[in-house]
Amino acid sequence: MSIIRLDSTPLNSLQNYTMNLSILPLLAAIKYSTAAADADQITTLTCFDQSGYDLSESTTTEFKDGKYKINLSWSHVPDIVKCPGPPTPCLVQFDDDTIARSGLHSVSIDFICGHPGFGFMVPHYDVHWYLISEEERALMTCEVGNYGPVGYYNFCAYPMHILCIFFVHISYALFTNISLCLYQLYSTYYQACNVPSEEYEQPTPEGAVSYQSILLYLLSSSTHFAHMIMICSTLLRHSLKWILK
Amino acid sequence: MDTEVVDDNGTVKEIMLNMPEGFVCGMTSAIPQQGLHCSVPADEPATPSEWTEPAFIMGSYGKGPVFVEPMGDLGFVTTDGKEWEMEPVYVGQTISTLPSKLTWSTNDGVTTVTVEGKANDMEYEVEDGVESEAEEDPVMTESTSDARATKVSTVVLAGFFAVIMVGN
Repeated sequence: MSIIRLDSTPLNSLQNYTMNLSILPLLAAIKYSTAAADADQITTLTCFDQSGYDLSESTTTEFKDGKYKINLSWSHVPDIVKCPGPPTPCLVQFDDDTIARSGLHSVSIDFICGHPGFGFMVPHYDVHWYLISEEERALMTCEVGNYGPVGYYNFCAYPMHILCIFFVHISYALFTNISLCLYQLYSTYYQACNVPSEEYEQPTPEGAVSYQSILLYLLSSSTHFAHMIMICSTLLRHSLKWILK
Repeated sequence: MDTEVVDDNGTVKEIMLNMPEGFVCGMTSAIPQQGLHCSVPADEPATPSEWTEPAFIMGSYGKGPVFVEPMGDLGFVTTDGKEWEMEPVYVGQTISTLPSKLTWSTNDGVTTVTVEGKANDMEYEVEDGVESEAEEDPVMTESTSDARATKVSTVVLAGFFAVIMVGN
């Protein structure tokens, strides 16, 4: 019998995009049933959030003819997933047999209001099929080189990433007048960078956001000015391209 | 091996192994718990309005793939009849179970994302709970690193001049 469980606690992977999961008591429940069809293994689950939002109506795992096939289904509910607003995370961790046979450890449906690159700055769904375990993901460090060859940004350069996001979002909003997702993004990235909460102004839903404090922090703490320059140039390039279009 | 540098008619070319051809990892894309985000830059929509089909992303950390990720905008979860599929072909594939087909469809208000691939039935054996066959631990080539560092330096310099020019 297959066992698939849905984490009901804040998820590390989702903290990247989540403002503060402590204020989002996402109480996930799961019900699953199994059915056998011939020699195939089929598992069905449904998970809900606290609002009763049916996030995953039917997920099936099937092995047949030397192949695996995993389906993940959900329904979009505009009243619950909206921007700015809380994310609707759903992580399904697969059982040991599924992991061994498919190489997939889990799948996560992440609704997010937008993220780089520029074309993805709109509300959308990211569906991550993870090839490593939650434990392995939790052990990721910011040591140079872990993310790739020398020259790649690493975890420690993450504030520069934030700066880019802010600028791009601001630019985008100025020119399109769409609503921002800063409320969600603001502290999320600070949390991801393990920046102490007293180091930055806490965001509020009303938009009492101080960009100045953010920039001052980044400028005063970063040793990656070259990276900042590069990001600024990228921002300018994107902005100019968009304006001129 | 995670990357490979080949001399293609005198051109140094970087290839990300276990990823589709043309995939590169965004230099500012590192996300905690996920790693770098990699894709074909030319395939990314230039603006949100140009994002009409799900995009395919892969994650990389520790010189190996972390995740495969289809991303779909709201139009692909709110419009019935939407269908999308892709069959990625991985360069230098060393992980046999990588998804060989991904689909995204929405019907009757329900969105379904599917991954399919070769099952590990023949290669996986369990002895006292230990896998008998381990995936190859990829290693980054030094030449790749140097090439990347050179590329970064060039971009940084260009960015610096761009900022100065705009500032003036």
